Amino acid sequence: MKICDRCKKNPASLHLTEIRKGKREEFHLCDECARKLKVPQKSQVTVNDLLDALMDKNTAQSSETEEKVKCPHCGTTFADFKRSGRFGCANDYKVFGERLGPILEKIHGSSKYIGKVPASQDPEPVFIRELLTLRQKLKEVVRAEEYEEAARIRDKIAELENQAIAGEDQEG
Amino acid sequence: MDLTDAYTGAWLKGDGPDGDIVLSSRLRLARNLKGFSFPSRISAEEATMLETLVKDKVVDETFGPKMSYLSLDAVDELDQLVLFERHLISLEHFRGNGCRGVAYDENGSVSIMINEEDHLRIQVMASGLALQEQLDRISGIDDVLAERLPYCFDIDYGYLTTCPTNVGTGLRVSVMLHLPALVVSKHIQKVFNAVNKVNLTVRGFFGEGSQASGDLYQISNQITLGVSQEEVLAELNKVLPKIIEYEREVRKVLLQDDRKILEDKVFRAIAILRYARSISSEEALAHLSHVRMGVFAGILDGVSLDSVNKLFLAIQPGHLQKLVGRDLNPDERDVARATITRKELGGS
Repeated sequence: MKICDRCKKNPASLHLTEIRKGKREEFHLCDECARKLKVPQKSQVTVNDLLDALMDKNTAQSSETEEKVKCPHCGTTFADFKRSGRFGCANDYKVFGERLGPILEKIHGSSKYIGKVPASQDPEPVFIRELLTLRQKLKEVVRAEEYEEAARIRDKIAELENQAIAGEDQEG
Repeated sequence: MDLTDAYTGAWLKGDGPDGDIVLSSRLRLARNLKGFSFPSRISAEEATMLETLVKDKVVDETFGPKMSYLSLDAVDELDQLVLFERHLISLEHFRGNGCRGVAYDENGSVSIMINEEDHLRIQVMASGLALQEQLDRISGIDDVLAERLPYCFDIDYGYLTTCPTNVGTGLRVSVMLHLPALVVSKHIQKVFNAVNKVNLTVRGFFGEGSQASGDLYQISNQITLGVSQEEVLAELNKVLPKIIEYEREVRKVLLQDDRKILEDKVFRAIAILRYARSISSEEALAHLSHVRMGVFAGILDGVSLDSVNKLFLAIQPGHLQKLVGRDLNPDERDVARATITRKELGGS
């Protein structure tokens, strides 16, 4: 039996499992915590709903960390960003990392780019084009409710994204 | 471009496709350059360096004599207001301070703002509805610049922008529609509902958060991440023709069923515009709207569409003062507005 991830006391009644970036992630909440966090009472709760709820709570704790998350280039903190709604420089996107996903989902309904690529990118790895094409394909296939194909494409995308991250780390 | 001449701006000619309903379409791209902080954090030195870099690469090297450049700090407020009224610079740019500028072509149909909310805001405008052509045009400019300037781009987030609402394609498409029939028949709410359903926004004539003047509405896309440039266009090209047809249908119905009422509205409007001695911009716009509809409905002979379109611009405060040649207080503006309108529409 799983214990609630938040209070660590009560048995969890809400369970969510998702495959993200090729890893299996699980979230568990008890009734009380789910209610306190105002997790939406719908049958399909998404990971992002939970992340939203989890991020908004414990304002004291999170505002401390938000001040600490700071870009070394321009000095903008995540708290600055939340206050002004503006980034200070391109590096902020890297520094604020995982926190951006839910925010972009809220604004655009998506957190992954699909579209053209500028010519000036460093010898554009073939897989950037492939990655963007796959994302487009995924959208279409999900719309057409071909979920098996969607799962296959999603795995391929995760693979390519990991490759891209590995490549970036090498450049450092 | 001579700023005293109110009558430039190819997009004002009204000769584009669906020009009876669509005044203009505008596309803009937001871009930032590697190696500089975003305008939200940029230092004065960096901003000046960036302006010089872009001016050299864009205006001098790439587009040469086809584009002029203005550094806004050196431009007086009235001229800046004129640029704003012509949609060459945004309200943010007009109200901004620090090193910033705009490059524009002689038609006023292409403009590139430097150090607005993002390092670059590239914009193309045209009369009527021709979105694919406009996208090809702005994409071409974007590609040329991308070869010369290092854009901030990320494979997950796309083109990186100062505001997360623009990240991704950085593309905002806005189409200005004239919808007097839908307004007068109270069907305009249906348009709002249809538009909001597909993640598009509707705004009044003067842009952000304003009431609609002159029955003019601006429809734009909202989403820039997770949809490609082509998809944005596809969505707009699905919904816009329906709205255009709807307005045309209602205009036809009004002409058939309520011709006398329509004529009365149109002729009262032209009468006031031809004889008033003092008129506010709100009132002038309302009447111009009816006159414009009257011209397309064939009710008003002897009034040219050209004149009507010019007046939409000439009655605005910056253009007004520029045409008269000096600063005017609000009362003087109302009188000047009436004078210019009477002259243009053959009144006395």
